Formats: sequence, structure tokens, C-alpha cells
Amino acid sequence: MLLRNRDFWSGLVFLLFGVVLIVFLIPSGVVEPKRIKFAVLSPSYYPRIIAIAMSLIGLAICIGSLKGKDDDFVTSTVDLYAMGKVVTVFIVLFATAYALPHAGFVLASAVALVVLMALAGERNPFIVFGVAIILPIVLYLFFTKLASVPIPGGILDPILQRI
Amino acid sequence: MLDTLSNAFVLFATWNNVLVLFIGVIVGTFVGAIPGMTTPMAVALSLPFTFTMPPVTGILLLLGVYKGGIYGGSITAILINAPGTPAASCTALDGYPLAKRGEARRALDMALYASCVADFISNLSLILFAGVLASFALQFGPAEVFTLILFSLTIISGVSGDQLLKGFGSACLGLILATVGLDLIYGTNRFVFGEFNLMNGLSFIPVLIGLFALPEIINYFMQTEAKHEQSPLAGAGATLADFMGSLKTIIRGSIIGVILGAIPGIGGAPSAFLSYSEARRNSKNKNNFGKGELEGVAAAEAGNNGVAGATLIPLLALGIPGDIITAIILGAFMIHGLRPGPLMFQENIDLIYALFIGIMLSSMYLLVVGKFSIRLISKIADVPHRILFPIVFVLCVFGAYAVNNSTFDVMVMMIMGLVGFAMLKLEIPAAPFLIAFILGPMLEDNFRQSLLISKGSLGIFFSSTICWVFWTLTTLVIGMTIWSAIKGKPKPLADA
Repeated sequence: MLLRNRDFWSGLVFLLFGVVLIVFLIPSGVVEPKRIKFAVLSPSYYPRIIAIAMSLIGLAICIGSLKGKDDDFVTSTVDLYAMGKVVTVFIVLFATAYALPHAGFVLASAVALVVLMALAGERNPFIVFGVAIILPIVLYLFFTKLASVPIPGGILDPILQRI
Repeated sequence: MLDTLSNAFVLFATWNNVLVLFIGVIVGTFVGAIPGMTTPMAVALSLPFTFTMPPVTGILLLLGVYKGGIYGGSITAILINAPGTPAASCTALDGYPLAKRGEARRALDMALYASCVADFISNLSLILFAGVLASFALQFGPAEVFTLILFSLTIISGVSGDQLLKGFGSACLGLILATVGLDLIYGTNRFVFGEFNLMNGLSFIPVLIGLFALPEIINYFMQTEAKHEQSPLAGAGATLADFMGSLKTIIRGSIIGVILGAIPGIGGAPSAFLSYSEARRNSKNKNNFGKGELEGVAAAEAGNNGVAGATLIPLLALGIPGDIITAIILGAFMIHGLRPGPLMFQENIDLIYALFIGIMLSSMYLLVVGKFSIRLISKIADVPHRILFPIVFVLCVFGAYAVNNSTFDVMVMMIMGLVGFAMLKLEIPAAPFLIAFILGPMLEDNFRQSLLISKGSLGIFFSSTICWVFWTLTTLVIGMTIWSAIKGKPKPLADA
């Protein structure tokens, strides 16, 4: 599969994000006070300068990449197996983050550990389940008992409270 | 004088003091090494234990935790690219590439030696030059700090490698992200979009972990099995030659740390980056910085730890706490009926000197605890990556949550992981993003505070000798960068 060079895409990302900032995000996301003593003190002044700089940098990168020789363009094949694994990892990471307040840190982390270790190729069930059970509990106890950080126990809360 | 010293020694030389300081360094090192467990958090958690202790013992416990915490942050930065503190993220720039090459032990050793030397120099400066440095630090107003931070940002060109424009773009992303939250002057929302969790801005630790540790974990799953199993601590430790080769850098970084540490509100991160920048500028191996240069680790750690003793200068000499940690220590002084400041040097000089003795001892403790912890950690790092990376992920989740007790921060970490992975694949350097994100708020705050003071006149940025010195240095660096780029050198950056 032929990919355009990475510089072009990077430049395009900077350019588009800069433009989106100037046109949409700064006008809608930065609340201006009714009275501003000096224009340079406006809350949008500094972000606007950065957004303009980012757009110009993006444009410069795009133009620079188009001037590049054919050799600069990257030809690579996409490993579908590796891509599939990465997509699965992303799903596991975001599912874990989503599950934390509901299932609790111990259970969500334990499930994530089992899935990630299995994906990484660990086949020893004693290691997989041993780590998945012990580590989240140790971390839970460390943070709640020693560091006084209230870690949500979720559905395991009644059991964890007794430890 | 001798009477005072002997009284101070009597006040210090108890088993309680010696032991409590040691425990403090151990706790600090341990906590600092956990992503998400910040040094201020560790110092704050230790505060209640000091209530029943004598003043010297209690304050030494807090100082021990503080010093251990600053060093501890570098451990995970080197081993798993998950900095425990913002300042330690500078250490990760070269520390983690060294670990990937199997030279983690060398990097950890160098970080420890640089930390101890810098800590010692900083403590010595506190004892000898507290008065002079305190009066110099008072000359730094918002305009001076703005020019100083602007100069520190020139390191962006240095860490961008041959991707200079992408580095600048990456820095712009970092600067924009740092503006999220309530506006400093008017208190209005910026990029909050109704999400109250964003009103305080994005926390450093979840962003740092997301940007550095998560892409490594995700990228691991794209690699072949053969690459996975190399132990990051396969190599030997740092040699005397390594140390001597970096000594000049360490001393330079320590001095930078002492000067910046004496200025209230600056902290370790700008000092680490400035020290790193200067080391790169003066190094024979400047092209190797960011790719696993031992001198880079030494510079970052020296700059970071050089701040440790010096932050106590404005506290003890003037009664001004320069950061959160010294504010907590100020609280500990006040709990024991003491008020730091010029009067304390007259009324409680024995206690001050007893603290100085303890502070000097803490440098030695740091060396002992550090060497021991490296041995322990080397065993942990031998864990195969197929087990280690999932464990690191769970540590990151707990760490990101613990900063503010917020699952929102965990989601921020995940999103930054996604951004970091995209940057990795598009070959956009992440280091400029990180530097800009850490220094950005300071840059903007001091820029706008200056303009508020000067009623909108830009002349304030040229109103003092200090400002002019930093403008000259910044101009020189930018000039040299452009000159080198025109000359077409492969690594043209920041070679002033």
C-alpha cells in the first residue's frame, strides 16, 4: 500500500487544527469578558497567536513535503494482524477507562490485565491470573490504606471494604 | 559561631533525627517512582506524622520525603517512560532511549550520581549564599520570568532533531493544550465546553503518562516477539569515566538549579530543561541528545535536583514559599510555633543549623537509598515485556486517577495516549509538545501579568538588565539555529 509521506499528513494536521481553532474553537470555546482593558490581555489573544503560528507551520510543512523527491515518499505495507492487535488494545484501554467508575478499579484492571497479557502472548495461566488478581488488590490497598486516595471499588466494594 | 554549631549538632544528633530523615528519603524515593503519586502529595501525607515530633525531626522528615521524591521521579521516567514528576519528563528524553538499548542501569546510576551531586551543591548554596541568592531572586518579576521561560523554550529546536518544523508544530499543540481552563486574569472559560473537569486545566501527570508511556505500550503490540524480551537493565552501571565525563554538565546544571530554585514559583521543570539545553549546546555529542545520551540524563537530573536545596532559600531567608512543597514545609514550621524569615536566623539559629546538618546528610542518604533501589528495580525490570507492559498500563491507570481522584484524568490519559501514538506514527517529536505544555502556563501567566503591571506596554519586557540578558541569549540561539539551517547541517539546532 502506498502512503503519502508522513510530513504531508503531519503538516495537514497542524494546518487544519490551526484553522479549526481560529474559525471555530476559539470563537466558541473562549469566553471573552465584556470589558477588556487592553487587547493583548484578552483571553483569546494568546491562543489565537499560537493557532496562527500552528497554521503557518502546517502550511510550511505541507509545501515542503510536496517539494520532496519521490524517494522521500514512504512505501510500506500495513500488517493487518498487528493493526488488528492495536485496534483491540485501544478498545481494551478505552473500555477499561469507561468501566472504572462502574465496575471499580480492581475488577476493571484485572480484566484488562488478563486481556492484555493474553494479547501480548503470555500463555501461563498461573502468571496471567496471579498477576491479574494480586496486582490490582495490592494497588488498591496501597492507595486506599497508605496514601488515603479513595479508589472506587465498584461492584467489589463490599468485599474490598473488609480487607 | 562555634557555640552555635555545637548547639546545632547537639540538637540534630539524635537517633530519631537520623532515622526519620532516612525513612523520609526512602518514602520519597518510593512515592516519586510511582506515576501519579506526586512529591507534594507525599509531603502533604507525611505532614500529620510530624505533629507529635520535635520541630527539627518533623521538618527533616518532610525534607527527606521531598528530596527522595525528586530523585524517585526519574526512576520510572527512565525505565518505562512514565515520568513521576513534570521535571522528570526531561530525564525521560534520554533515559528511556538508553533503557531501550539495554543501558537502563547506566542511566539510573547517572541519574542518581547527578541527583546527589546537584543536591549537595544546592544544599551548600543554601548554607553559604542564602542571603545573596534571596536578594537576587527578588529582582525577578513577571517580565524577567517571562524572558527566562522564553529562553528555556529555545530547547524545542534542540529536541526536534531533524524535524524542526514538526517540532515547532508539536510545541504549538502543547501550548494550546496548556491554555485549557479558567483564564488567569478574567476568570472566564477557555476551551472548557461545559465540562467542569476542564476548568482547572489538564493535569500534568495524566498528559505526561498518556503522551509517553501509553504509546510505548500500544507500539509494543505492533512489534515482533523477538524485540520484546530484551531486559532494559541488561547493561552495566555507570563507570567513573562516565561520571567524570558528565561532571562539568552536572555542575553547570546544579548552578542553574540553584539560581532558578531560589526564584519563588519557578520549580524543577524549567531548571531541568534549561540545564538540558545548555548541556546539549556545549556537548561534543549534541546530535545524540534525545536518542540516548548519558550526558542528557545527567543534565536533566542535575537541573532538577539543583532546585531542591535552593527552594528553601526564599523560605528560610524571607519566609516566602516558592512552591507547593515549601508551602507545606512552611505550614510545618508554623505548626511548631516557628515563623521562617530574617528573624528566625536571629532567634532560632541553632535550629536552622541543625536543619542544615540534616539537609547535608540527606544527600548521602539519597546515594545509599538510590543505589539500593536501583538493585531492586533491576529485578523488576527483568520481567518479560509481555507481562511488564500490561502491569505498566494498570500502574498508569491508578497513577492518573490518584492525582485528582478523578476518572476524568484517566480518560485524559487515554486520549493523550491516542494522540501520542498518532504522533509516533507521523514522526512528530513528542518532546517539544511536552516542554511547551509544561512551560506554557508559566509563559502566558507571566506575559499577561507583566502587561497588566505595565498597563499594556510591551516596554516592560525590556525594562531590566535581566530581561536584556535573556533577550540577547534567546536571539543568539535563534540566530544560530537559522544560520545552521541555512548552512544545511543535519542537526542545526540551538548550537549557540
